Amino acid sequence: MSKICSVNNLGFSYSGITVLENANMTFESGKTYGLLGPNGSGKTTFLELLFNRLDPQAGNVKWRVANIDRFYLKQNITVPNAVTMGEFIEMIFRVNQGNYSEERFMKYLPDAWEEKYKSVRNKRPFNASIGENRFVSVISSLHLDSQFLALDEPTVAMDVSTRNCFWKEIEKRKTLGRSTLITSHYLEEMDGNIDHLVTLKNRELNYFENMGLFKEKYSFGSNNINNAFSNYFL
Amino acid sequence: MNILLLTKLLLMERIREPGWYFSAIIYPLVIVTSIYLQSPSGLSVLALTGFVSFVAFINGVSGTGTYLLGRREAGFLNAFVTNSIAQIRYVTAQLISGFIFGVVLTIIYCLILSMLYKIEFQQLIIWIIRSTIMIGIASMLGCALNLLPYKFEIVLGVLNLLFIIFILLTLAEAGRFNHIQYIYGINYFNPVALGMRYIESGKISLLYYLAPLSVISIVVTIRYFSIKTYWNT
Repeated sequence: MSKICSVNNLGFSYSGITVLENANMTFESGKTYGLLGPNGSGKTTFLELLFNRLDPQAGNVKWRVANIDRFYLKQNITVPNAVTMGEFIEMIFRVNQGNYSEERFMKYLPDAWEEKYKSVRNKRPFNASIGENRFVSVISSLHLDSQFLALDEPTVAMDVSTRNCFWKEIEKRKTLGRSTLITSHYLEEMDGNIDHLVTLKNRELNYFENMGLFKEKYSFGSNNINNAFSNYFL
Repeated sequence: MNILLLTKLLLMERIREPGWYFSAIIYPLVIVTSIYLQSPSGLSVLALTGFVSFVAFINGVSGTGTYLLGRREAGFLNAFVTNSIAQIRYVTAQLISGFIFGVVLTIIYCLILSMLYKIEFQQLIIWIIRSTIMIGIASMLGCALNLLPYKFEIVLGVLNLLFIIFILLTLAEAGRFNHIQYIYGINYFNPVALGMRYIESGKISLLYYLAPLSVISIVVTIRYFSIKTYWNT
């Protein structure tokens, strides 16, 4: 495994509120990371800092992959209303990868998503559900095949089968040596699907070797991830 | 090829959005009708070229700059156009689509005017060629709107005000105030008036500072491309 990104003594505050203090972290290739924190703990701010959308007041982020090889899917995406979902995907690929072939895109699409894609490709965003809008953003981000991909609550509003397929795709990325950082409030689905856990608590970034250790330490014998989360963040 | 196919997508997106009716149809028609009603004897050839220059300029700027600004404020650029290569591709495709759209509209307006005012075919072709150059300049100048650190509504409001000032000063020069020297002087800073003089006379020297400015605009836009949104500040 090689290091692809290091976060060094990162600090950020706005309007007198400190969000992050002295954060340190190293991301390696071929790993899936989960980022946990209650609402308002600064998860999105951390992702924005990681991808240079915000300027830190202290520290820095050092990348070892080119900026064209890392991608961050934000939580709230506005799909332009005047294009269909299929055209939107084409637009994302033509802008970010410099080429697009729907045939090739379909080839890499898992079977479970093929029918779903076909049912939304000709829809305009205002005719599609929130889950379908999210699905389209997620599948295009996944198939851009970036070395490092960060997804901010990617499975929100997705149905169970779509979510299951999503985690299989994340697993596939891992076998190809790609890294993924995911934030989610669905703790059960993160449990067993991520390699390492990062938490944001009281402005500090904490690293756990795996979710099992986190559960063991904070679920106080119940072995329940939701209990562990509640006990840890209380 | 990729850029052309991206351009096609952006053109389709633009055609499907009703916003372009305002800059492409309603705005120019309202202005030309009101000016025409003020001078029932008809518009001079210079005023007609002023109108063509206005259509070329407003559609050139709207087709590129307002899109680069609007997409920025909608958060689209911040989400999907974040690395430098993606930004070059997006700006280039937006520039070409704005240019094509502007050229098609200007040709349509020139054809309508030629029917209403019996303009000779050769003259019409000259107007179209010169307008095309104006649209290219306006499209490139318009790209720089992306760099303005203001909300979409503020920029659009100021821009519409400027368009009105530009057309009024242009038609003032073309019409009954053409003897007032200071209007002529002010219009050296009015791209629509400079376009009018160029389309009418073909004096390329009038574009001496607009052309380099447009090139600088596109270079600076690509170099300092802004994805930061201001609508929530």
